[in-house]
Amino acid sequence: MKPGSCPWPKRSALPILPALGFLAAASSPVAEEPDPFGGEYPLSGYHYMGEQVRALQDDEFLNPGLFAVEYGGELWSAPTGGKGLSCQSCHEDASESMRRVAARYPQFDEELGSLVNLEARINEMLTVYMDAPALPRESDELLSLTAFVTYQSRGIPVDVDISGEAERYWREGREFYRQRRGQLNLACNQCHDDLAGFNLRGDRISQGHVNGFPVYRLMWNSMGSRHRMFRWCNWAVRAEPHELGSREYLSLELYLAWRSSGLPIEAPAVRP
Amino acid sequence: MPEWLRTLVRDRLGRFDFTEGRVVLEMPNRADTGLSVPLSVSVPDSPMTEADYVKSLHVFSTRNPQPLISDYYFTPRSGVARVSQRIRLAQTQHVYGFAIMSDDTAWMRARHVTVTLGACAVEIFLPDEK
Amino acid sequence: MTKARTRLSLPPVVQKGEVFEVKTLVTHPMDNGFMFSRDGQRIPRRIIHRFEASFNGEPVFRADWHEAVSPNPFMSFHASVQESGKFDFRWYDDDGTVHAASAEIEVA
Repeated sequence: MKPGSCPWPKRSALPILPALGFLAAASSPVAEEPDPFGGEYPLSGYHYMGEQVRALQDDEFLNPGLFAVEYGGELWSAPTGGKGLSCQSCHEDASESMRRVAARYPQFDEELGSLVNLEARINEMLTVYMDAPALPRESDELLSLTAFVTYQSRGIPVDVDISGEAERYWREGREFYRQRRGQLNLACNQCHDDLAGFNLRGDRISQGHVNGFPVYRLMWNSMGSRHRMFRWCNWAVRAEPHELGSREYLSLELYLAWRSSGLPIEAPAVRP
Repeated sequence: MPEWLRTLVRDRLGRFDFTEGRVVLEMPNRADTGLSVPLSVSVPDSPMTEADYVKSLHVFSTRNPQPLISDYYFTPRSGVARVSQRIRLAQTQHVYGFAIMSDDTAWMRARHVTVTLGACAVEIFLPDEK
Repeated sequence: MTKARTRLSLPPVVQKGEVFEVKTLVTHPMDNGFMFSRDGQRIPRRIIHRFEASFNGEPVFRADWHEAVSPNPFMSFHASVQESGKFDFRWYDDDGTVHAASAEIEVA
């Protein structure tokens, strides 16, 4: 894959600056964070895949993730719970109301006093407003709803807010990302910052961005969330994985989403 | 061609008088992942008329745990004898395509595909996932 | 997703005798019988072993699939028709289920 074969339009500094411009103050975490890509703009994991896997993602007919989007769309408009409401009852047309939403997650919720990701937000809606049971993590239903909502932001650049209370999580996430772990004693950044583009046996190391999630992973033969990938990565370096939805992974998710700032949302991406 | 494959083809297709040619196997020289390898098989020079058409195409693997990949059966209504699929290849190997025509001639072609294996590409099951 | 979902792609209108591509896809795990589950049990083989396409009741194309076919099996083939009518597609699952889909096509 030549650098010129990047599928997305070359990102000029312009779309990124408005997103991060407010962070320019000297006290912001960004100021002390060296650009992990040495001035190169972030490249989606798509860039590091071969053309045969790319074709699976690009071809609307072949992309298996779109079945999850389709199913998510059915769940979106299906009444559920004690109040007989569907997502659509309040949010109406998802292509309007959910546009850009996924690009802003995870975000700090003042009322809950914690960081929430999209999956947690969907479950909060179900339990608090719709009187319905929460969907189990990594269930087809939750993944499909997440995929459907994220799909409405396709092409929108990732743009999370790491100011205020969120900064604490961002710092924890950064620490987690740089912490060596597992029997292989590897930190995320050792590969995904320092060796992106190099080969690890037959794999090409990506920059580790999260703009494609939920992804359809060929190895799993199913959809997976960001947290499932974190668990898988932790296990792959022989480290004890954390729980899905744990504070560690939420913080890491925020840090990685910030790191992916400006990358257009690709969900549902296909990854090997 | 390995002797076992010759025997297997004779058992399954009832013959082994294949001439090299006419069959076109389109596959990447190097597969990005063995989990989903594009495969197209065709006999482009067959007119596919009632009088002269491709009856069937058969694709075999030489290094999968199980050598059969797919068998395709055509009719004159098929227009052209060309099919595409996505298949799994366990490792680097030769893939064989065989064609049996309505005039009872038989053709074959082999193709080599390199399959790369990733460093992390080992399925690891975690207890609380699907 | 418990129910198999299908996707079809073929032109709605064709010329008489024109050759066109038919693309089909069905969601299916295609368990090849070589994988193990979390608790160390072999996952039994469960694949779609046969695909059939017919037009107005007449067979057009058939494929026998084996363990090597990738999950969510995709199948592209070609056809030509002499009159308007209906394509029927059938996928035969090892568990006895037959997944079906159909599409109308018009000869201009």
